[in-house]
Amino acid sequence: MALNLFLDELGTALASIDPAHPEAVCPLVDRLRTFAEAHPEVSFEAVLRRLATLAAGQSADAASDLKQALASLSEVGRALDTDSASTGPAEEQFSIPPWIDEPTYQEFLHTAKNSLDELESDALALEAGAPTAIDRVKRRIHTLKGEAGVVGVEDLAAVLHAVEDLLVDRHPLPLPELVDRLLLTRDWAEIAIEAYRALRKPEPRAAEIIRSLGKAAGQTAPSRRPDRRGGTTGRSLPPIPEEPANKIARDEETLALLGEFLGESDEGLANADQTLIDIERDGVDAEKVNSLFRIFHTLKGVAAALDLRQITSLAHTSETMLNLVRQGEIELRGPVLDLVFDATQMMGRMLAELHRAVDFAVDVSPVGGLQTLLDSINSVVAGKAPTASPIAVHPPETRLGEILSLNYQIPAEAVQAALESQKTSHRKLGEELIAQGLVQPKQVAQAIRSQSAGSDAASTGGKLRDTIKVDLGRVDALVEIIGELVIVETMVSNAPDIVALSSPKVRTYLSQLGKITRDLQDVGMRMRMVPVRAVFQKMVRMVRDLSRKSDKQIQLLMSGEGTEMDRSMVEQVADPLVHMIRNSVDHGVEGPAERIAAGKKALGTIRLSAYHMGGSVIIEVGDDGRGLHREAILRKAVAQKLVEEDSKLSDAEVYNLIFVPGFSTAAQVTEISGRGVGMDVVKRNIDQMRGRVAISTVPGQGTTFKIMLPLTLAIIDGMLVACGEERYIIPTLSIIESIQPDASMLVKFAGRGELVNVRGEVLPLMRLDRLLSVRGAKTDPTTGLVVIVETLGRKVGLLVDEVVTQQQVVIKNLGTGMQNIRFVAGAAILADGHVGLILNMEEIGNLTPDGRTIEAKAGLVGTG
Amino acid sequence: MSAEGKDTATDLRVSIAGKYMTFKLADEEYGLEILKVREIIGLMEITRVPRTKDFIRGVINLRGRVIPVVDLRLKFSMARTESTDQTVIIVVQYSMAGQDYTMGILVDEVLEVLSIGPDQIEPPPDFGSGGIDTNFILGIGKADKRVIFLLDIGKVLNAQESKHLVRLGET
Repeated sequence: MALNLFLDELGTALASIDPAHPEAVCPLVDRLRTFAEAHPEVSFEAVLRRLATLAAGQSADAASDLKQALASLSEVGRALDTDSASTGPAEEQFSIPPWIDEPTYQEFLHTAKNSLDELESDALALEAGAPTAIDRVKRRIHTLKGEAGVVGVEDLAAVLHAVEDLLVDRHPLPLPELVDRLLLTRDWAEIAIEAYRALRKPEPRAAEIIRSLGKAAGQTAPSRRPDRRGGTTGRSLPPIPEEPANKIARDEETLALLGEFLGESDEGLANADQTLIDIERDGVDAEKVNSLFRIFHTLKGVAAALDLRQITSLAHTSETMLNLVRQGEIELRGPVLDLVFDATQMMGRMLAELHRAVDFAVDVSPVGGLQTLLDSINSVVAGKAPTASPIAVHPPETRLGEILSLNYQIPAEAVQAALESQKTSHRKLGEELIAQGLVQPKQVAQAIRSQSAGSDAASTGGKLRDTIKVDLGRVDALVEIIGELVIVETMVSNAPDIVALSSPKVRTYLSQLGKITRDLQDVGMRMRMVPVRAVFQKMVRMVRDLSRKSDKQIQLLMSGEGTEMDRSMVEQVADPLVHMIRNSVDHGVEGPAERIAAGKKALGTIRLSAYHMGGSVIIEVGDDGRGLHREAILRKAVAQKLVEEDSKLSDAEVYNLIFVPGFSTAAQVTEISGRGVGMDVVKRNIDQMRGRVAISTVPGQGTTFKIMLPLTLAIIDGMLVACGEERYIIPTLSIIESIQPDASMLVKFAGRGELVNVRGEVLPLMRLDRLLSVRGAKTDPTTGLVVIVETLGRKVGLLVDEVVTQQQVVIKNLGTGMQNIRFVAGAAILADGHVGLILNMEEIGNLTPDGRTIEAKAGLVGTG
Repeated sequence: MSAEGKDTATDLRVSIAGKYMTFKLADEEYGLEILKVREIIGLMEITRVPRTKDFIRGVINLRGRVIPVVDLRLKFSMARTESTDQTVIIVVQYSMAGQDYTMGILVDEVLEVLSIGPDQIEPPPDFGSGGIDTNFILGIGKADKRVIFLLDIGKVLNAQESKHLVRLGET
């Protein structure tokens, strides 16, 4: 019995055991033992141990033990699936024998492949009547057999041995038959070598080939992938209970499993989508169907072990349908293909929901449309033809982009933009659009279908680029080394000796080196980049739930989910986004009645978009709600003594008040859109990422928050300032301006602190040399420079000697044991190779003029 | 000394015998376990880090990596190291409480790599209750007529202090 089939059955049997009667596992244990003996290469130990406890009635918590057993079982299944990921579920792993080292092994495979080609030409020469060919063939096969035996690839050795027997047989076969067999062997051996190269045992195994060598020749090699599984269709899982199980166990083990499950499943689903597009374009083949089947099968196994019933049932139903496809009972095209697309999409939504539930420690909410989908799939399984969704037939010369924009309202500009970026990314259009999150894979497939409905010639869809999983530590190490290279390159190019050289050759080489270094830096940086999609998708659900709770009708439109940014930032940006969207729902978008009264559609819209601009990533959260109420904000700010009553503030300054801590959490201003819950958190998070946020609002028409973030956390724009003998870096993002004050601008405050009056705005003045005990700095502010910096909505002036230069620096930490030094955020290597310290502007901005921290004294802004 | 005590002393000698890199601080000679020495670099400009302890001279750029530099003379309450032609930074790497540390040590002069056998080792001096902490000395090595203090560098930059190179009192 095939391994996987057995695992399947065992899993189902286990899942249906009532925890109240654990002794029901006894027969299973016996079966498993027998089976495990027959398959020593698979380790069932963990499962057996659990089951034995259950069978013996020694289990303290039968339900949990059952679950654990299931988990271990699917672990076994997964291990098998991984081993045989690319060529079929039943293949076995091959390990290089201990006496052979890997280079020798690979070398053998390489030469073996070459001699197979020679064997082929010899065999053909033999057929053509060349007299010495038979000897050559014999020699080759003999040598190959010997080598195969040495490196331990037994299947290959056995087959070659059988062929050799044929060749030296005293009653030789008629020549054509002999050649047929030789060629059959050669073809199989090629497959076998590929399998061995991937450290798998060849499929079909040697015995099968030897058998067909003995049989009447002239047949082609047996089908590479005999269908070894079958019984999936007939079985059914325990029915889904009326009330879906939405509680997730949150013990550490389960959470770890869940995390792994989510990660792997996302990957699996992406592969599934790609396979489906390939099928749409190139037609069905057994391998593709098998790989789809495997994906759902794995999902089912793990989901069942984790007790995720909805996911299990969808995976099971889809798997059942795909099994019928494998058996040739259903054709995987048109509406059936759409159903699989729908299934992967639904699966994606359920996984996203699960992800959300895990992240926010809430229960899983049921995902709408599941039952409908299950019903449609089941009716296909039951043999009813599904209804085809109508497809417009487009002539083959219609471009994919045109079809997409016609059928799915993808803006023509977006398609145009994708075509543009396609030039640099070298992706196909479909792939580009999917990557940017503008279309669903299903839509591309349908577009391809309608394209090829006119002709067969079209192939514009894409293939997901091959990826490998790399240890993050290695990527970081690489990026770090590239950083060093960049610094050394700058140092070399700027070294006085080199600069003095007038050789044009050296200059050319240096500029080439410079260019390559920048390119390398670029590539290195991109290695850490991931799409913002994962974060965006979390918001869909949130908007839906929140709008329902607040009785509003709100749709979330997203674009640019494929925009990439640094992996760590994607995680950090989630929090501010949640707050901003919450705000838009709570305070921005009006209720339906109010909207209609204002002449708007009842359905409100929140737009979430991401794009690259210059060296930054821009994320916009916009709504078409009532907008910010300038007067109300100002009134409240005055009431809270944040601003003077008659101060003249620009719009931007007024709107920025909502980020001031204390502004939002204080007295409720319910009659207007106070819009402030958690906005200080937003600001702080974005500051931490060294980003900026800008607000634009039109009363009655909506508000847009524009978050500008650096591409990566590792590099900042900094201004190098001198202070005494020392130099420090101030992040440019927090600098507003720098001024050379004259005496009339300086004010003493309470005899201790100093203030500087910048065009009527009175700001605390900090002396950098005093903060950092620097010696030899200028003491008279009028001879120095005051850098006006803004952090957390608060402005201060920082007295330094002078500004040296402005440059991009790679942020480094100060080494173990040197963290958390006050006022210092990190270090950077300057162009001359020395270390410069980066100032922590948040800490400096948080000081009062007399050097103490202000903490809760937010009221200081603008007073004085 | 009891037989057992003698054994412990012998064990200690055997366990700390090995190769040491010796260097000078003023007139005194010290040894560092060679396995903890990563490299020796010439004196370079050290960037002072504000609000850290005195014996932390600052940070340097070690091929793109920023590492702290400790003035061992200041650490041992001697006069501050003045830079001469011989002054070097020994880069050491050690782990303490599961943390890996890479640090530079500023010394007056590097001497040689010395093999010190068990018979050349004396246990650390005991100053009784005199208040001198010898915890960071593995033992005393004798070669020719020289006396070499064999340092446990992790303890010199002592776990507690390594963690708090920042002067906490000042924040």
